[in-house]
Amino acid sequence: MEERELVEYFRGQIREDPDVASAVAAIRSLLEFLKRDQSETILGLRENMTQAIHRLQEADPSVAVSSGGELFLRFISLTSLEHPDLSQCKNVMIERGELFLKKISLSRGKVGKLCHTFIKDGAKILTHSSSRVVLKVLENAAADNKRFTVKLMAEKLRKLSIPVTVVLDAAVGYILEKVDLVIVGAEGVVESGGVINKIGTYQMAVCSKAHNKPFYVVAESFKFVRLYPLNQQDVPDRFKYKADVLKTAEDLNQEHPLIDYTPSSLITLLFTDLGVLTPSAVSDELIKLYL
Amino acid sequence: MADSDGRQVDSINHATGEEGKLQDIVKAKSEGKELTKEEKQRLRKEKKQHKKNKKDDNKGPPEKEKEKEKEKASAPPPSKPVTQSPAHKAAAPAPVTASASETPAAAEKPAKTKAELRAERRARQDSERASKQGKKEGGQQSTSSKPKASPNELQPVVKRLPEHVQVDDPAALKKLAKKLERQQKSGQGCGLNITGVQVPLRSDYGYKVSLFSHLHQYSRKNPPTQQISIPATVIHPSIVRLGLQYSQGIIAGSNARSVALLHAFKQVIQDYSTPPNEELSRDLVNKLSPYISFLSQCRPLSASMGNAIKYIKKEISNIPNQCKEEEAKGKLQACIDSYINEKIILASEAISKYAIEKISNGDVILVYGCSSLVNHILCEAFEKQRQFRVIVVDSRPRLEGREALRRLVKKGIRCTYVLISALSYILPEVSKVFLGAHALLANGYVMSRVGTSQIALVAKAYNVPVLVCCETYKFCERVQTDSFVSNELDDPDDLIVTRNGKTHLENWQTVKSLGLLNLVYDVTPPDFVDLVITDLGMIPCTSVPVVLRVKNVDQ
Repeated sequence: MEERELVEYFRGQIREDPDVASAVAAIRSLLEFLKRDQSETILGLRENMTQAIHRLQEADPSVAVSSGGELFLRFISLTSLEHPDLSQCKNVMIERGELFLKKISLSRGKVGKLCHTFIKDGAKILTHSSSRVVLKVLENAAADNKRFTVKLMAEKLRKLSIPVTVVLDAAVGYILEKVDLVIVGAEGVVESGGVINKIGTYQMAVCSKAHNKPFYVVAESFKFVRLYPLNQQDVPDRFKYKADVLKTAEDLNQEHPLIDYTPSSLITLLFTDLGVLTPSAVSDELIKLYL
Repeated sequence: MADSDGRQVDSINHATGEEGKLQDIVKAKSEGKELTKEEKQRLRKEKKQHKKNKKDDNKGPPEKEKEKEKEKASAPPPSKPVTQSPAHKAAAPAPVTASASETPAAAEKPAKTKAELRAERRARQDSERASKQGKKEGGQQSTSSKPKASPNELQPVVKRLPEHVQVDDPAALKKLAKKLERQQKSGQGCGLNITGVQVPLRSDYGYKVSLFSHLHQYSRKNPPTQQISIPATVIHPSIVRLGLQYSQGIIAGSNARSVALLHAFKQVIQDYSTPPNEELSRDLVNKLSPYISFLSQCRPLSASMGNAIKYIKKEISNIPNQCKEEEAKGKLQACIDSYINEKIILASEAISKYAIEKISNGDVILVYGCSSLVNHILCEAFEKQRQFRVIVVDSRPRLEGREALRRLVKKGIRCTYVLISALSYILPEVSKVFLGAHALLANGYVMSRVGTSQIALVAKAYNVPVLVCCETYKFCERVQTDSFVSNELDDPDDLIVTRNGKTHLENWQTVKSLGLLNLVYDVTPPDFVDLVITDLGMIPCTSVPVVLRVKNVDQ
């Protein structure tokens, strides 16, 4: 399968089902790639897969795609591939790939269920930019007839008949005293337990710490990535900017970054499909996944 | 007094059979482990009797004899015959004069019934307890139980000095002294001169600050090797040399000490020959105990050395019995080599790889003291053409930063040198702090050279990331939240400085209210540390117990 086809397939997936996480779409395309791959050896296969992941990363430089891809690769190759016949090996890998895909498609639902018990009746929630996971959480909570008001992410919530108010990013400090809790999604969860999310999240986290409001992050487990940024500068450039910007810009310092890094000290809890974790437990999970 | 008297009376009354057993049960509840140890001891004694009768070995009974005498002659002088049984004819702790007196004694033992032996022992204990009533409670309990425990431990279980030191507890000190004497005597014939102490007990020097009175404070001018008589048959010469190197500070630094220790053990294993009718796996471990005690008298063992010793002992005791001696020795040497290679050399390669990712061009890196690992990382990064400069922070009295400075400048790295008092002045320029560690504790605290926690604290205040580099073999399962409970006190005379021929602190010992404190280690809480780089990868400070768990699962 050619690389361009792969990217087309990936974009097609996102177009068809706008509600799907970009990482899930990436993994579906990788699975498709695996099925159509023509290489003769397992090593060749793995190399092709790694290259495919890189291609997808270039197409959509979000952290989730890179982490999801890497986890997918590890998951499918973690079985014994001792069969003499290559096609048998491939079948085993494809089976595991399907299994992985099924697990992660359910993860959003799991997270939603976990989180909605933390939202009390009449709570006022602050959130930031559009995250499908947070939407799911709020849907679940709404089904339980809890009333709450939400800032930002307006139309989808209005459809769910949840009372919504939209505020500017700059007014976050102003509105925080009226808010009970803050819930955001994540593009990636790093080893220290911090999160990478749309720009403006860090600000919100700092303000909520100052007001002593709980700051919750909801993320699926395939977003765990083996990065360890020490500060904002330390986040690799390939995540910060859009794909075309990375290629054309002369001086990246002039460009506006898309994401920022929120350190683990500002986060109260993380809701994942592996359970409700404290930031220090994220490293534990990562060690279990990767070692 | 009343209590022990009562019990003494009881024990004499119920010297026979069933009531003795009831007494045992009651005693067992109050004395805990002693009863089962008594039984074990008895079983072993009987076994030894059989062995002895077969082999006519001289070593067994003298040992036992001496142990028994020590048990009864602990604190007060040995003239305490008490309700003594024919087994203890030789009442003095003096050198074993004739095996003649012992052999009848030893031979008589199987003749006695279990209950009688038990009764004798109990009577002895009670008399000891009565005599020690004036002393501390804790010391009393432990000393009455420890002499019981130690004869058992001379058997396959290896004995070591206790981890935690209690220098201001006189009973604990006495226990320590006894253990040292016992260790040197194990495995020796009766002809040796006991007055030449083989594993010396070093005495403390100078006034100790009260907060740290539970730790040893030795003077470098009195090395422990002075008290060793020549020929020192118990301690291998390479160990003596190593001990001297430790106590004089010739070998310093956690990695260097561990590697030197392992090399010395390789030499010991090379020169070792299994005595007849003994198993290498058990005897070698026993042989190592006095060496380890000696080394810890020279300088307290570090966490990395502790882990290395545990590993060696495990390897030795895992040697199968059928293995021939040469083969076993070769295997052990290979094990030690691979341990050094994997845990120290390759680990530092892996750590440099991760650490270099964190060094970006234009960085200003602060280092403290001389950590072999951090120096290695910086040299590697420089070779990989990273542009950075280094600020070396140093502190008295060790001034280890000068060694680091020498190594870095030799490579061609741009360096600045400051003392720790200038830390808050220089920190606004710094972009990252790299620290080495002596050990990483199970609750995420970092134990390192004194001054490290200060640097981490000030760096946190200036929002500068702090990275600690540490190999996994330095992870230990101890937990500590402050620097007082377990530390090391160095020679206080090091703090004295002579300038222009004038030494103000020359007679500090005469000033009653003056104490000099030369601490070696301190403990940094995990909130101040942003990242720990280990050979397993980059982990947050709170994940140390996870790594320990994973390692235990692997083993």
